[in-house]
Amino acid sequence: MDAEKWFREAVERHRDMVFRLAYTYLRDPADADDVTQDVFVKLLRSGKRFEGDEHLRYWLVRVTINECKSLFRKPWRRVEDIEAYAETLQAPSEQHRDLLVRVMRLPEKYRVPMVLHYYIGLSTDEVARAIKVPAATVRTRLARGRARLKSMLEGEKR
Amino acid sequence: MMMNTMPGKRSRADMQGAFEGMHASEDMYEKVMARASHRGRKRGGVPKIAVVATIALAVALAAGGTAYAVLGGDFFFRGWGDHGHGQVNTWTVDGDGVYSRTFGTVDEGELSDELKASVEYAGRAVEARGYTLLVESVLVDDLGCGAATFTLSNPDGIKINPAYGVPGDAVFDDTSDLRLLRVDFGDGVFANDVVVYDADDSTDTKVRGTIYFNAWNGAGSVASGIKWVLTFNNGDVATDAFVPAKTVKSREFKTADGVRAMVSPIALVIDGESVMEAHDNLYGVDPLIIHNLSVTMEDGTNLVITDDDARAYNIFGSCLRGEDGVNLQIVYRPTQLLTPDKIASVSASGDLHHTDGQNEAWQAEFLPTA
Repeated sequence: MDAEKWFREAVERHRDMVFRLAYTYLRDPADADDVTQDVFVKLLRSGKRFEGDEHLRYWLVRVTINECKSLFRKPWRRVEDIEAYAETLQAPSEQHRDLLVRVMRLPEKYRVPMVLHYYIGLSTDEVARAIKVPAATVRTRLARGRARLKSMLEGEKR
Repeated sequence: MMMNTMPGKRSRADMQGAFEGMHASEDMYEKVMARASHRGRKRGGVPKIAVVATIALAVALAAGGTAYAVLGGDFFFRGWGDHGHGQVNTWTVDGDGVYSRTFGTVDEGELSDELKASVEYAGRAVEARGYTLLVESVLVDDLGCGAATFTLSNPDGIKINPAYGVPGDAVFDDTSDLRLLRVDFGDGVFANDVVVYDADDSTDTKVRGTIYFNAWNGAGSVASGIKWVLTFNNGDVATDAFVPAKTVKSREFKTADGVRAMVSPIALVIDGESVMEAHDNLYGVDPLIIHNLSVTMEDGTNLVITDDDARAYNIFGSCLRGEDGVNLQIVYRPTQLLTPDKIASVSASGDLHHTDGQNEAWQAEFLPTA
């Protein structure tokens, strides 16, 4: 496959994952769009050879995390209205939309590992390498993140 | 349907469903190609960018060399004062507490002649879609950092949303066709930048402010020429490149174990390479996260640059630049104009990241080497 065709297919196949991960960090669709462009520009310029789609996928995850952390190392930007943005999305159900909003309301240290593990499908060891914390910490954060989601849900029911 | 919050396949399915409606732009490929092409990089094809209309400002440029006097000396007051927003600005992040940024103060008596003489008149302008951007004065240092004052006008209005960014940052509203005012370099290397607007001098149709920037690859990129770019929803326009003729020098500081910091009047840079040389088995992507950074002046006064504990970030942005493990540097652009010759020490604390995933607390005092 020629390089241009390969690159176009890589963008088409992975753009949503990169955008969703960037949104998880930044919680602003315009910023996430910007980061997504930069990630693929880096891919374009990297000249890297990948062993397969999983290798490419993990590389994109890592670069997306680095882009988000480098560009916005500090909470410089106020969070956009998550609910308002979620309202614009065609979610499968209202419950899925609520879950997205609740996950995005979690602090970064919980929501990022949860999205990397439960949405992107990285193992806890892979998440640990990606966000550079010990695997035990990842597991703790996943547990606490789930607990927070649960308490949010119960709080809303009451 | 009841959402599951316990581990397992159900959680994965729920999470997949939650994200299902969220999509990147359908024209992402075209956007990426346009961005890549416009930054003067490889790849052929026709970038989908707007026609660039540059305006020659020959008369203004004639003032060139003795910029500070010609500009009326307000460059430093515009760039390192309070921008009309008050000295201390606070904001809340998602229930995570109150954050603050304290702007600096400028004492004209403290500005050295050398520093004043380093300000250059850029006189670069671009006009597109009703917007006119004029970049007025520029100051760059030998660390690849810089600041430029500008005026952006549009008779049909400019939509800055004060709810976005840190108070004082110029971030355009979602409904604005203009998305970013940013910096590019002649060699195509990425820039990190922050724009702050001057509240007292800006109106609905005119924004005055300062753009603070640094190059990912350091001073070489700045020397290749600086372009100021208006990024619209579907394309960019850029000024002609401005190649600085003057550079403010930085001063070197070191810890006892050889970690380097460089301080210029407008930036403070921690050298990641020397951190990795001083400590074994550090994770090359991000070997050091700094939580607190301050400088102590010779008269004993302490200037906080960042303090995670107090959630104080007295900077015009910071970034980690360089590639993984190569030429890594942590760059800070303080809100207070610095006088490196009068700094007694730089203090920092943070975490070192090891390859085995363990973190190690790190504390350092940097002293001047000359």
